[in-house]
Amino acid sequence: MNKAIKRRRHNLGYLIAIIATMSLIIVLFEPQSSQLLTPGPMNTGHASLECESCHRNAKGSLRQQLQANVQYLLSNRAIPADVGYRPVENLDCLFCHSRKNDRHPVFRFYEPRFQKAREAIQPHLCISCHLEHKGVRVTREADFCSNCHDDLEIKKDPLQVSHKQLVQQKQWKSCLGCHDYHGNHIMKTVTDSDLAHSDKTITEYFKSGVSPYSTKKRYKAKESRDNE
Amino acid sequence: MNKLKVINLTLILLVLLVYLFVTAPPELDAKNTDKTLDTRVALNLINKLNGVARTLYTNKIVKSGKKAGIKFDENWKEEGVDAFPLPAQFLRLTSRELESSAVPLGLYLGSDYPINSANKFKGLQSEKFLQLKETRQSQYFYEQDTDRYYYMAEDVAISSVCVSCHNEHKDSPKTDWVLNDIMGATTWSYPVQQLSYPQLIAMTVAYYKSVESAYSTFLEKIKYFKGNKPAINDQWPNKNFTVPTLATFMAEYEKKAGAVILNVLVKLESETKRKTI
Repeated sequence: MNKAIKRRRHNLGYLIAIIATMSLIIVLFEPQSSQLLTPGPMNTGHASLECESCHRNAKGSLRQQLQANVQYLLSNRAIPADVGYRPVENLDCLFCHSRKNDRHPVFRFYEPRFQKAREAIQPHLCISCHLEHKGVRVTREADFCSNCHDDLEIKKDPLQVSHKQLVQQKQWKSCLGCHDYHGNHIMKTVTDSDLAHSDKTITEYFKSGVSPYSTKKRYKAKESRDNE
Repeated sequence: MNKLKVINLTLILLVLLVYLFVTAPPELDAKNTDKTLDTRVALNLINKLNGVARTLYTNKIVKSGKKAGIKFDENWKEEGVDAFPLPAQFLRLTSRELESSAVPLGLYLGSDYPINSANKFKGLQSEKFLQLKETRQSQYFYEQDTDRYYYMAEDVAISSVCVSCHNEHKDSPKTDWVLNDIMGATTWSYPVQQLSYPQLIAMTVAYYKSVESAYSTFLEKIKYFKGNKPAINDQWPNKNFTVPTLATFMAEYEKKAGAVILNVLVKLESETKRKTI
């Protein structure tokens, strides 16, 4: 085989590779292809969300982002810049889920006294309990209350088995049987332990089941980010 | 390597260098320019503004409101409870509003004798609170894991309603509070050690809007009252079963907060001059 034919075949090979790559990129960037890129099924209530609802563009153009990172590598800049998309943050979740009545808002856990809780369960981050693309509602076991309420004692306790006893017995999965963590369901907190929801019911709810607390909510989540 | 390849490679390298180094588009903000003010100074100002909101709400809404028969209850959020938030809960509302602003300013309340044990100081915050109580000086510190700077200031029993409510509460771990006791502390957080004057203005505006939103939430609660609803007008509660409108409340807040801001800015200016001389 002479050199000219060999070179022509090489060039043809490069051309095919370039066309295939370009086609793949074009296909993957089509909105209909988002299912191919997602790492897993959307969590409960998020099925209708677009990728862009949470994955927001990083600040600046690609060239600015690359230049900023080169300057960072040369120690001419204090912090690196995000390239393409910025990481998903609490604010992205709170855009739709921020509520005046949240009993455990994430920001409260930035307070120094929650340092041990932050180490253990990262309650200051939405995704520590609601990691996306898992196809469920809550991605954590229902025993996390132990991280902040291990010295709980109520002077005039209305329960048959007191809160103090429940803490001593480490019945941490029982808390959510009566208490709604974020407090958005319209409900009356039960004061009779026999009426509390079982671990199994709460686990089902965490997976994707119907809310055992109430179907009525004080605030509904926003359905899109279009009006940002 | 033939001559053509060398030229091609040089051209590619040149284009790459221009792309990466020539700043035709403006540079991205590295968040480190024009920092001239210590975060501690800014948080001290915001804490003073918070003190104004707390005093106004405690004295002119809660204390006077109680005389007029208006109820304030820790369970104010519950359905069927015809009551408004307690002073600490009003500040919690402010804190929540602050968090939904674009300014990364955090506001937290706590104590060594809290009614709710979950609000008890722990770890470094507990140590700093002890120092604060001993010296009556605000504390300023940094936490590695959050990468934030914290400013902790005393919360003093400014009114008889603070004392009586905490002494009489069924879950209170301490029942001998007296006026002017340090009942707890307000802790503020901010992610950088220094900030610019525009950032200080943004912080102040964010706090102001948070107070405004918190009071709007207060007024919103009246819609859900099942029994007698207090009137909303330009009167403050005292003998009348009435609460002020948002405009009336904020006008009073602005009057008192304006004096505080002016005072801090004048001090800041004289300190800057002293340093320059």
